[in-house]
Amino acid sequence: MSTARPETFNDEKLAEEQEFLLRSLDDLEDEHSNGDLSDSEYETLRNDYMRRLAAVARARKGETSTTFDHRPQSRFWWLLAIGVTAVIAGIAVAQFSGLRAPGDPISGEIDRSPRSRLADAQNLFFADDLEGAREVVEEVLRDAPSMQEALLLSARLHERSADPLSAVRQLDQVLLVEPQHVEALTLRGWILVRINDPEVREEGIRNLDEAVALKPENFDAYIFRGFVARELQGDLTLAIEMYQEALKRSPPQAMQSQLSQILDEMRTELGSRPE
Amino acid sequence: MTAFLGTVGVGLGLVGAIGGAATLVMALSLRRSEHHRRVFWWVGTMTAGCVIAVLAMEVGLLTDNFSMQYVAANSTRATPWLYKVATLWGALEGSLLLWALVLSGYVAAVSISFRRRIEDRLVAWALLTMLAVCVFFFGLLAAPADPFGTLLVAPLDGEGLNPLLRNHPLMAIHPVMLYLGYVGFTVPFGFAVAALVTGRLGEGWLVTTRVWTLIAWGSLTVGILLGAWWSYEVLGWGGYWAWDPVENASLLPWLTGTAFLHSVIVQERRGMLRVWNLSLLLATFALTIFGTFLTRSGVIDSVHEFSASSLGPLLLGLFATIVILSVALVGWRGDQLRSPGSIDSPVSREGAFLANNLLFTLVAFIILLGTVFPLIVEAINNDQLAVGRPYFDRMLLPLGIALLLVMGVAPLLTWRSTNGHLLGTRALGPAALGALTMAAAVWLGAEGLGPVLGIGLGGFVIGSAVRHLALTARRQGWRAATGRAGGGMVAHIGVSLLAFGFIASTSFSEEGEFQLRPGEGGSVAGHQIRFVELTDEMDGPNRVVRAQIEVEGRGVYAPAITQYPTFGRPIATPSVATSLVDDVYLSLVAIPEENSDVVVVRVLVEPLVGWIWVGGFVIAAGTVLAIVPERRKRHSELEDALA
Repeated sequence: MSTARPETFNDEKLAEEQEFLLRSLDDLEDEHSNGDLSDSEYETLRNDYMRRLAAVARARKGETSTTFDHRPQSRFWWLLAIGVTAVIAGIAVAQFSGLRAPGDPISGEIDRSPRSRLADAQNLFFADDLEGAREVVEEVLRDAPSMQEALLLSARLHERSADPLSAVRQLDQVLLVEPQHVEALTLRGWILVRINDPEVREEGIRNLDEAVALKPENFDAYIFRGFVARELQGDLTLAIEMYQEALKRSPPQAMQSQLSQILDEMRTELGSRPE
Repeated sequence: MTAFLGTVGVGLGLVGAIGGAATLVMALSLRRSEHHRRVFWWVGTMTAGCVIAVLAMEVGLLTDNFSMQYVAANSTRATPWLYKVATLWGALEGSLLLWALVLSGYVAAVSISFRRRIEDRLVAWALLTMLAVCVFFFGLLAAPADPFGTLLVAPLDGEGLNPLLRNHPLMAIHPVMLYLGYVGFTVPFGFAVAALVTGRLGEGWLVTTRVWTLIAWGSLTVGILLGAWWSYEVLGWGGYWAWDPVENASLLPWLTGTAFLHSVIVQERRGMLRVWNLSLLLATFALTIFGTFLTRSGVIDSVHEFSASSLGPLLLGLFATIVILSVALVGWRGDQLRSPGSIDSPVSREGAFLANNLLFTLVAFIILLGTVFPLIVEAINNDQLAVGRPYFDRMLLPLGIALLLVMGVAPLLTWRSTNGHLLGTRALGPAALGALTMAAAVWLGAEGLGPVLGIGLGGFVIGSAVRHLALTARRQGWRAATGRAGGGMVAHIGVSLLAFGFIASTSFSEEGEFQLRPGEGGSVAGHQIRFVELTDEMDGPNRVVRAQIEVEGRGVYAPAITQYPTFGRPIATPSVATSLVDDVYLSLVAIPEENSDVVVVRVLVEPLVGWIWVGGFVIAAGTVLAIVPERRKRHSELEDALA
């Protein structure tokens, strides 16, 4: 808490004070003539300035020493206000902070569409950052719960983390809207054929057959169906047909050589079988 | 040869800056008037050197001189000439060269403007301060950020800038305006230091630097708005402000500068707030250096960031020096800075200015905290945090509304004291306009307390500014719009238009995303769109996929997406069907699959975005008008009587 503090001005200060009061009087006249001040306000302020001006003039002539009282100011309230503001801002900044992903700015964010955020999630998925991809895709699904691509990616993430039930649930949502969604059928089939239950496995094979029947441009469905035909059904003819279809759809180079090798093996095996 | 000329230019600039500073130190210490005049030669040398360096760089860029490291790293043969010119400020070293050019220009202009007062200690100290800043920046160009390094073997073609920095003409203007603002604050800073050093702490130096402060503030305002416009037109997310740390860095000095422009009126009129005004001015300059540190030190990660560099510690050192120097000088002159006047009543013009200043300072504090908090946390415990947009939006909304209220009320108040009756009478017209605006907004579908109140207050501010202009026009005619008060009122109208645009576009925008084949369409907020056709062509080495989309009643627009061979992800270029009512913002979400004619288009309908740019233009016009001197009577009979 501060108290009123008298202060003696030197001549330079007094000259400055006089200049200030003279200018204030000029301004006061202007404001009064413009109608900015009522007559009574004008009188009060003018008398105050004149009184202060006379005191300064006397002091400059050395007749008196002039002291000016500054109004007592309560610094306590200012400090309190600053403190409260700092606390509120501190709480808010802590509340709205979160861990930063690589490449993100340290503050603010751009409102991005669910689809562009999904693209980020897909990149994270392909970079094997499954946790990061899951976070983003869940956020996307909160904003766009029926977005098929997001449901599909979410299903892939569940499949990768050995949670086939959740993956199938997501895929069922896609198939409910679009029963002939090739990717959903393929992934659903591939998940189900690996479950050790004959009925479930049959359903999986049905899904893969449905996907292949749609003649997809992608090779996934053919490879999965070929694998099932060879390993689970022992149907090498179907397996060869499926792998050949997959090869027609230009899989990556490494996969092509692997498929060709498997095809050769199967042809040899088929040739050596008794009729 | 070109690089050599550039190096010579930078060397001349450095020699000129050091020579000028040394001359002024001698002149001030020996008190010899002939020394003062010699500073013109040194300033001339520095400016000429800088112009030579900039010309050398531009020649290098325009002639594809890839033996120059900067050109090879940041330009390509295929870059159009406008972007070649703009590449000067597209990367770190070049942008510092532009900084040095603008700074030299300001120092030369101040020297010419004050040539008759060059022996005045105030002017000499101001020039010395500015030249010291020049020495720092030319020093950077001479060693750690040398733009004229050469390669032993020149590549056949350069690497080119980030594609985002070379696909819109605004890149040629926005940084220049920003630098005119940033660097321009060196002039009032120089005079503030000079006033503190010489002890001439009256109002004289403020009047002297008023025009310079206005030029810097106006340029910074335009620069920030052009940056927002560039972001809107180029980045493809549909917004113009994301509270990105670099955006914040440019806003911080603007906020303290705006507070200063208002509070300085109180000092000039009433002799009050001296310490406050000096502190604001010193803080404004310090914040421009802080912003430079943020953008060039590699501490942040955003599209604006050029590259991690070794300049960080040097810029941080300059920032620390400015802060310590400022605090020391203000502390040293503390007693002399005590103001002769005091506020007679809080319900007065000066009371409103004080409120305005507190609000601006609070806004600056909140933004600064949100920007540096992650840096502090990372420095302390290595956690990488980000402060999200909701922090800024929620904390600043009430302050923005309060600022609009103060902006509307202040012109209605008188100096010293205002009684309630007078204020009520004056506020009647503006308040009616505010209420009418609010009612119109609700009738047009606006909802939510914050946005509707904000729109109403925008109307109130316009009413208040128009009332002031109309009353002054009765006495002064067209000159009512000139001078600080008139120009200020015009700028207030611009701010209101900007506020309308900001509130409407952030609160009432609608969005849709469509997967379309040719001939198919969709609808967002009453706007029908139809996908006409897809073109997929090569533009030099870049693959450009463009979708022709018809917006009913507006024409055909072509958002595109470009795959640059030297840049990882494709860059979407939006297309905007603009009108004063709303913008239909179209952008392609991803490059369509091969042999597919299906596109995914994001459509945003944002009301009144155009008003933001119009508002910016009106603010700029207001600033220019504020620079025009106003007519004002002075003289007091008492003055003669006391003499």
